Order: sequence, then C-alpha cells, then structure tokens
Amino acid sequence: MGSYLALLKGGYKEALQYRFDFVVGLLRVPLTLIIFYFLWKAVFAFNGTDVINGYTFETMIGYYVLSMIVGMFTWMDVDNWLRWDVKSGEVVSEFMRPLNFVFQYLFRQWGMSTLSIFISLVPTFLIGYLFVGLMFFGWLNFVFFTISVVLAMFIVFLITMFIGLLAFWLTDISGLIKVKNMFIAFLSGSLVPLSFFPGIIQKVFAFLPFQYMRYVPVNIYLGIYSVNETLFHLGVMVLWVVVLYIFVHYQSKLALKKMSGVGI
Amino acid sequence: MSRYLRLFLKNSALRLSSEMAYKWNFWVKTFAVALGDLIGPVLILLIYSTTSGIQGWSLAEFILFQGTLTLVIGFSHVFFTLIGVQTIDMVRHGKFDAALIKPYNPLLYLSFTSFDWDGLAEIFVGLALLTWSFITLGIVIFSWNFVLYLFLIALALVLFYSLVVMISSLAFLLVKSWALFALFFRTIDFARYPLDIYGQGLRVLFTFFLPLGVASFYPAKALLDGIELTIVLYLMLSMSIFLAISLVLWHFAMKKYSSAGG
Repeated sequence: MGSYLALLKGGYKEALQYRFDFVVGLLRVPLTLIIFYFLWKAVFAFNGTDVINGYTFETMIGYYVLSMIVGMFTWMDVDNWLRWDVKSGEVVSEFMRPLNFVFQYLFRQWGMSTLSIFISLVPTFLIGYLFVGLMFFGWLNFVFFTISVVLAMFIVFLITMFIGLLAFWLTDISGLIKVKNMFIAFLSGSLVPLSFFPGIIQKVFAFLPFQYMRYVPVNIYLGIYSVNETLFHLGVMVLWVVVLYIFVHYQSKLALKKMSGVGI
Repeated sequence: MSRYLRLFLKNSALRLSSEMAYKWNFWVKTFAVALGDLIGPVLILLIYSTTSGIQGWSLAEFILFQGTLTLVIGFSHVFFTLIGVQTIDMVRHGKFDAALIKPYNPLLYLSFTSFDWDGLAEIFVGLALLTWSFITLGIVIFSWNFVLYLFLIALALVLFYSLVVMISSLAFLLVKSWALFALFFRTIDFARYPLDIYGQGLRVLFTFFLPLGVASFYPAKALLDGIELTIVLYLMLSMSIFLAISLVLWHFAMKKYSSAGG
C-alpha cells in the first residue's frame, strides 16, 4: 500500500507544477454555467412552462452544476500518459515494478485529481447553492450520489485505460483519444439530460456504460429515481466496473506479451 | 510576397506528409473534430425537438447561426491556431531563436507556417450546416445582405487572428500560457448562442469590448434581418483596434524575449 501512496503523492506533485493551469481552469466552471443558465432561461421563458422533460428551471441548472462536479471526479488523463509512456518506452518501468500495472496508473491519476478537486469542488458547490438555487435533496440521496460518483470514476478510468493500452498495438492513439472524449461528451449527458434524446436512442443508452458517467449520478442526487431504481442503477454500475476491470486486466497482460515480443 | 507564398506552400506540404505518416490516425482525428463540431447543433436539435425553442430563432436559423461560427472557428483553426501553439512551445523550450534567425519577419514567418490540416473537417462541417440552412430558409446569395455577411465573417477572422497573436505575445511574458489558450476557447463558447439570450451586461461586453458577436450573431442577423450600417462601421473600427493592440503587444514581447541561452 505504501508504494501506491507514493505514486499518489507523485501524481499530486506533478499536478502542482501545473497549478496555474488549474486556477485558470477554475474559471471554466462559472463561464460554462453562465452560458447554460441563459440558454435555458430563454427556453423556459419562450415556452411558458414550468417543467420540460421532467426538469424545472432550477433542477436543470442544478443538473449542470452537479454534472460539472461529477466531471471533476471523473477527469482522467491516463490515456495520454500511456500514449506517451509507450512511445518513449518509459512504460517498461511500470511493468518492472512489483505492483499491479493498472493500479499504478489509478493512483497516479488520483494524486493528480486531488489538486483539481481541492481547488474546484468548494467554489462549484458554492456557486450552485448561492447563485443558481441548487437544493439539497436529503442525506440518503447524497450517500447514494457519493457511491455512484466513485463507481462512475472507476468506469471512466477503466475505459480511458482501455484506450490508452491500445497504444501497444496502434502507431498513434491521439485521434482515438479525441473520439473517446467526444463520445463521452455526447453520450454521458454532460451536454443535456439524456431524457431529451428520442426514446429509442435512450433504450440503446441503457446498454452502454456512458450514461453512468454523468447522467445517472446527477439524477440520483436530484432524487429523480426511486430507491429501488437507484439500487438497480448502482448494481449495474458495479457490474460494469467488474467487467471492464477483468477486460483491462487481461488487456494489460497481452500488452506486456506484445512488448516482450519486440524485445524490450 | 511570393517568398512567403512559397514558404506557405512548402511548409503546408511538409505538414501534410507528416500527417500522412500516420494516415489512420489522421482520419480518426478528423472524425473527432467533425463530431466535436456537431455537439452544438445536436444540442439545439434536441431542444427544438422537445420544446418550441427560443424566441426569434427557428431551428434552421439557429443552425445557420451555429454553422457560421463553425466556419469562422474552422478557418481560424486551419490558419491561426498553430501560430499560438508553435510560439508557446518554442518559448517554453527556449527555441524561439530559430524563428528569429530566419530571413523573414518572425510574425509573418509563424503566420505562414501554421497550416493545420486537422481543422479542414471543421470548415466542411460549417459549410454543410450552412448549406442545409440556406436551402431550408431559401436564402438568396446574390444580395447586399450576403455581401455584408461575408464581410462580417472576414472581420471575425481579423478578431481571431488578433486574439491568437495576443495570446502568443503573452507566452513571452508568462511562459506558461496554455491555460490562456484554453480560456480563449471557453470564452468563444459564448458565441455559440445568440446574444439576445444574455443579460444586458454580457450583450454590451460581447458587442463593444470583446466583440465575439461578430463571429456569429451579427453575420447571422445581417443575413436574416439586415443590420444597421453603424454597427458594421463600429465593428470595423473595433477590429482595427484589436489588430493594432495585438501587433503592439507582439513587438513589445519581441523586445522582451531572452532565449534560454542554448
């Protein structure tokens, strides 16, 4: 465990080097919220209804605030690291350590995320509660929300890891990383609640892991699901984590074989 | 000038061949760029298919609005973005001397060696959105309004060029200015929706002080409803000021530059 904590600390120190970027990155939160605030204000005003697709104006803005908070916890950069580590050959040192290959990247990522979460979490919640009327929907929802965020973090991490590991087989994965980011932007619900999509597409979404990255955790916080529905969603998330982990674990074994194949 | 044209053609050809070294990756990247440009229009489509949208804008008008912005962003992606990327990278590694010893004006040298093939998809998506909305709305191309529309797009490109030059200049003073670049792209997001949805303060800000309205709102207005000439004149003046400030800032940065001594 000590070695993993050292990796975590290393990731944190790495992040400190970029603290200027993190502070400027902080400005992103209010900027994006201002835009969505005015956009939905215009939509609600023109339609003259209080509820659109199950969301009031307040819960809609709350949706974006929470979506950004979930986004902070699910921000992952491991695919870029792997791309770089494989290209430069530095990945050898990760394989040589007597530690789990996947976990090494997880802890380094946690170390890095800690700083951005420290800097941005409180201001975002504050903006949410003070300016856009985000409400608290009870401790039970909050506990379920917290669990779902942790699970969402693992799901995003494992998918990012999967893309990153492809660097062992493909010459350059920078394009693939971008495509993955676009898919997440479209399908996770960070753009708009997924209930805005046509019914048939929503049925497809249910079988994909993307909706669990933002949409489901946020709706759990907002109390949109019943307790049974929430438990069902959490169960599916656990299942996704297990399946993806098994997959990525074997993928990393294959990657090691592939690498020794070229004689490193 | 033909010197610069030759430089531009040679450099762009070189960039293309290095992209083609990873052909598969290039097409995947292009696909990602195109997907990214569709995010805005898809959001609008989803809003308009479940509600009646926002006041004063039909779906086709909104797509025209966003298509215009995509086109402007596409052109500045293809021609300007790498100016900033190259400068920031060179300054950080103390390699900017390489640009100074070339027998060209440094800024022009950078401007003519920054063609980014990645961005072409963005121009095509913009044109596709515009074609669809032009046909749906039955817009007449041979009209005074269309000339104004093109003129305002040209002004928007002057604005984007100036902003990229400003960010590049700041690279010399701050060394780390990636964050500023990121902030620049965030701020552009305001131009993705019509200025009339914002409050009075933001409307004034994006018309008079940081005239992002010129990249989408005013061209679209000019084409759909016509626009007062005073606004066009004001925007012209404003872009000249932006360009002048960016050039002054650049020259100041040139004087400040001290290499890494390598």
